[in-house]
Amino acid sequence: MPTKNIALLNNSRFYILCFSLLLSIAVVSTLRLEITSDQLFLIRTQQIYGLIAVIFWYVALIISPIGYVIGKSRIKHLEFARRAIGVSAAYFVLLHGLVALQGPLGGLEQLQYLPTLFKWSIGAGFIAFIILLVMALTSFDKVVRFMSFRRWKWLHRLVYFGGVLAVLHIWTIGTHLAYSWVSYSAFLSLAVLSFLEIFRVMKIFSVRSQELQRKDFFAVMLLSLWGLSLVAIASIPLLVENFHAKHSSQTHNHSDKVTD
Amino acid sequence: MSKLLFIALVMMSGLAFSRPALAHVLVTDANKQIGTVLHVYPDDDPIAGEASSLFFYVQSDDYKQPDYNPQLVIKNPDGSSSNIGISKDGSTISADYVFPTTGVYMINLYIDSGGKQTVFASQQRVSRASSEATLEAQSHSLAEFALVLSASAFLALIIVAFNRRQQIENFSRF
Repeated sequence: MPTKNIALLNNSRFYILCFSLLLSIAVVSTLRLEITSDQLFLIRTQQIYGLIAVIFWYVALIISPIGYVIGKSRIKHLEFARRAIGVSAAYFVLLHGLVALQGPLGGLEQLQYLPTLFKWSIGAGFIAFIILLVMALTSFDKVVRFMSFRRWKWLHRLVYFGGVLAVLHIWTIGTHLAYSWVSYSAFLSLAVLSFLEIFRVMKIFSVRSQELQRKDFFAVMLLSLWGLSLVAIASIPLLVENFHAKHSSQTHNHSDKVTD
Repeated sequence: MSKLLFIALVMMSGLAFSRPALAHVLVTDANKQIGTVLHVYPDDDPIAGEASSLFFYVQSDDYKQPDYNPQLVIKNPDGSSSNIGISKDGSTISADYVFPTTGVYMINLYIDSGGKQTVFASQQRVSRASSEATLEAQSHSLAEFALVLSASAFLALIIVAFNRRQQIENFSRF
């Protein structure tokens, strides 16, 4: 099948998937060589796989709205590569979950011993993973043709619901959020994504709405909706319990001393 | 292709600037009845000779009441044991400790509640030291092989992609 092989080598998705596979091997190998403790090695591997999964997921989500801002023709190659980026995100989420389960958590049967917050958080992360897995499994051209593009598109909008669950999973037990610079970076990333998504949705609706075709009305609506979304993002720490915030404050407040 | 390279660079810089952080290690009691999530500051990787903090987040609702008595004993690599002063806040128990040297420590948390004692035992390896040599890294020939293999394959992938950049640009778009 020489023609098929040549087509594969001309496909940017092939290179992204190969890159992801090699990156996962390089990460685990480097960490194994760098870290003496087996337990710490598993913790770091799980954390870095999780971080890479988030980066892939974010890039996959942001490509489409960027196209509405700068013009789809300018990012046609990225739009083409988007499916492979999404599949890579699913792959790293799978690795993140497997390493966490077999490493720090100690196996599937151990999940019952986790505190309630962790159970909820891992449940949200698992549902997000299932959604991402469905996206990955239905990302082939043949499946798109079989389902019809319209149905496929509706199914793939579930990725936003999965994204919300992933944010809650990361917020509740995510490890790096204990550092303020990570919290600010996460807020900034979500703020940029929400702005672009609102812009995209409004652009779509402006085709049918005369009001939205007026530039001033469009700008006011965009900024108002974005402001609301920022309030929603900023209120996550107030509405959802975070494990690290709780015991980080305790680090500086050992008030209830028991023994000395 | 330059855009793909940009994405790769962004991801690599994300990795480079990511600091080690805190994680969750699940420890179950000897009777497999209750679990606790243990965190060790800093970064689950304490430094010998410097202050560390230990956090236990106990699963059971029984420990949300204040009438339980926890006790933390750390067994040092030389066999001696230290009884550590602890704090509790609901079902979260915390303590500060300076691991004196590198080596493997046993962390034992005893909780007396309602006339019964629950024991959580966990091993903690301290491999970094502030003033002395760190524990020697073990040899992992498979990891070395995998790293060299992945780096070589990555290099080959870049060469192939660079040589076919025009075909990729023409093929890989809607």
